[in-house]
Amino acid sequence: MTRGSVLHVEDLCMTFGQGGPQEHRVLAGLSLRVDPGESVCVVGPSGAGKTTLLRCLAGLTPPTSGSVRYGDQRLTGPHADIAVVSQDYRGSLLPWMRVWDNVAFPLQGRGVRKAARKATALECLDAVGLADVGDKYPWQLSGGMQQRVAIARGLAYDAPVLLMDEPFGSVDAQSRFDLEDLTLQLRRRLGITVVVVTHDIDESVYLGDRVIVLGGRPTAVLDTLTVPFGTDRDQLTTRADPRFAELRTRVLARIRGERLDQDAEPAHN
Amino acid sequence: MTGRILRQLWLPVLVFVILLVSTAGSTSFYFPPLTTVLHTLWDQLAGGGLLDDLWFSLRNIVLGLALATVVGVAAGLVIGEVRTLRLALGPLLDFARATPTVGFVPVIILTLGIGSGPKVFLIFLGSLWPILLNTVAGVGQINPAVHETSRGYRVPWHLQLRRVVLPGALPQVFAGVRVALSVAVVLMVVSEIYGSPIGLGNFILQSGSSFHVAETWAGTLLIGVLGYGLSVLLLLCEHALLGWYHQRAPRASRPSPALTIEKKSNGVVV
Amino acid sequence: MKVRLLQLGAVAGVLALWGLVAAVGVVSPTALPGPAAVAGALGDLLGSGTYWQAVGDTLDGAVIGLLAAVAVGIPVGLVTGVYAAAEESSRLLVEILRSFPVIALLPVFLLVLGSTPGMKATVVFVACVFPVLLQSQYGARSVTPSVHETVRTYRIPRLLRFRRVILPGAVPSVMTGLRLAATTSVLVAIGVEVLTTLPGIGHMIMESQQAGASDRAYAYILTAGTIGYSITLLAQYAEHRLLRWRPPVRAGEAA
Repeated sequence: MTRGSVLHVEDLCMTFGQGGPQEHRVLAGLSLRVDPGESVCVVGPSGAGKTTLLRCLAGLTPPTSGSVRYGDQRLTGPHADIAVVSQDYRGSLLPWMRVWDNVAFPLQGRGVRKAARKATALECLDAVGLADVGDKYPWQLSGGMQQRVAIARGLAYDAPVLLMDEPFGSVDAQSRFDLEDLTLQLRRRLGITVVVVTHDIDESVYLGDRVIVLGGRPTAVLDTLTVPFGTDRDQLTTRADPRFAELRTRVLARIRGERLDQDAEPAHN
Repeated sequence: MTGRILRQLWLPVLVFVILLVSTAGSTSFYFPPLTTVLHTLWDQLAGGGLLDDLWFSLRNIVLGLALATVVGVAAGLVIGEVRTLRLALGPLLDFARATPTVGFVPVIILTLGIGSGPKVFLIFLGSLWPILLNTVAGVGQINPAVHETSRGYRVPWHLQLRRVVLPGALPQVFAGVRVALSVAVVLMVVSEIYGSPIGLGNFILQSGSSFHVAETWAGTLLIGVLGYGLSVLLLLCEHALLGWYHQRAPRASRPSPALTIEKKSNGVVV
Repeated sequence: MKVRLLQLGAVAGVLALWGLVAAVGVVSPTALPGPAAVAGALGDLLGSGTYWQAVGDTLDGAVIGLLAAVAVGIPVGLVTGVYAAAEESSRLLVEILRSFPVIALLPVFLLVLGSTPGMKATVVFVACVFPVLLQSQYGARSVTPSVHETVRTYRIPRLLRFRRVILPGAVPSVMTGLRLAATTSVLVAIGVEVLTTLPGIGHMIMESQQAGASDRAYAYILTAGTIGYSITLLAQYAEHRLLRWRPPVRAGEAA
């Protein structure tokens, strides 16, 4: 599954409304890399430009300057090796397609025949624990189930890289635990590379091999932490591990510390 | 702002210029030069009595529409509020709306005469149904929680109708009046062509059947201007009265969805 | 079941009220004949060839004009709806043309095309094309940004995007346009017939009323109402079939 895939972000800058009266600099010279098979969590406060970063990684928004490379190619648009699961599961599923059709739709774009499409879709739905809802319409499913469908769609696309933007932000707490475990399990089984953007510190530590902490204004990388739990994790023991508490404290301190610094010396920039 | 106006204006202006140029010096009997038509329009308005026709038609429309609005909204509020009434009358009202009012034109004009009254009545009859049905639908669309709230605070029924139900249904009422306006203009034209000594419909009929082609085009153009003018006027009223409705939800143009701040989480949220 | 009874009761009530008003003689019987007389006239008409000929003539003009409007309005509306620049450029023009009372073109059409069935279909076409076009445009624009984003990330080809995303997304709105246009088509066809010598229901209403047979005129008006109502029911059924993917809406939500 791993095809030597890797994402490189170099000196990424993003400015909205450039040259205008409301010029707003979001990202200032961000650099990071994602290794093949790795799970990387990007964590930071709301409004830090996490979503902007993910959109750049997905090739949806061209950066103002700097570059995003996939392997040795420069990304200029959405890539066939990258699947995206967005925060807005309700909006990203097409309401007029049955669940299996939603999962299979990207394959239709590749010219896969209907029978083969459906078989793949059902397989992927099975993998996310939704074996028997293929013939329903999205509105008939709960929020957590809809987000599973979106994940299944990413799997069906058979991309070695899965990008997730606040994927579990708007589902209930219980489904959230389940979806986190599902993500870990899929990654272990399929060996895919996962990048998750989140504002939830616990989630970032639980899901990531590495946690990249963003902060500041404009946003920069504050810290990168390596998480020592390996690929076998579970909600009870991992979260009870003293190192878990240590890591989340460090992430929180990095974000808080940066904020306190800013408060102490106001209006310098 | 200017950019947007220009982007919307260039095509209508282009069409106008093309019409102006392509008909210039036209010798076709049916398609006189646009300049001639405009000139005729001006002459007729200034001294040809067209102004009287315009006034007659305008007055009938406004009277009929106003009457239909008062009756339609009042009846619509009651029907919308009373469930039994709404269920019982549903199919009948749908049938009434689906019946083309132009069918009544010969019946009404042949029995009640060619004066102003029967025309106002026809316009009223045609405009009533869209306004009434839209009011009923508007009342139905009010969030039940709003009703519960005002019931919970024991707001008296007349106050509730005036301050809660009517404003809540108003966007839909306006949609109904907009539909009714176009029906009203059609009925104005048909009833005047069918039988009337005066009015814009009569003007285009008379000039058409006596082969005064430029006058026919001019009258047709004026009816178009009247229809568009009235709809713009209505839109201005709507914006003045429904500011709260149009400002409430600007349509999402940014790609990021509305749900950016999430409250649900089982960890620390920064 | 109880609702049906209520509705039947309401129909009976309205008929009774109509009969009472007609019998008391507040309105002259030429303006408003009683329901029994109208029912009798309708019964006679149903067995006559001229009646069905008139219905056929009206439907002919309405359907031909409507089909042409659909064939032009939907594709133009969808394409201009997808491209923001096209939508913005055409907005004002379409607005102006839409608010134009098409029946006012009748004298002009009479001059240019003459009093022919083709002229009737043309007037119907002009009246119906704008509601269809506008609603299609609106429908194409109603596809949400989230969906557009998804389509981009999964690199859906343009044609497939049109067929499986824009078109189904626009269907609810297009259906509204079709319903509006279908009702308009009958209205305009009858309007033209009332004002010209072209055969059809409108012409028969006029002829009956001029001959003093107002019960027959009312029978024809009822026929027109039935046609309009059938179109409404048919459209509701089609919408129901086509839009099964939508969650059921709260009762009472209809425009």
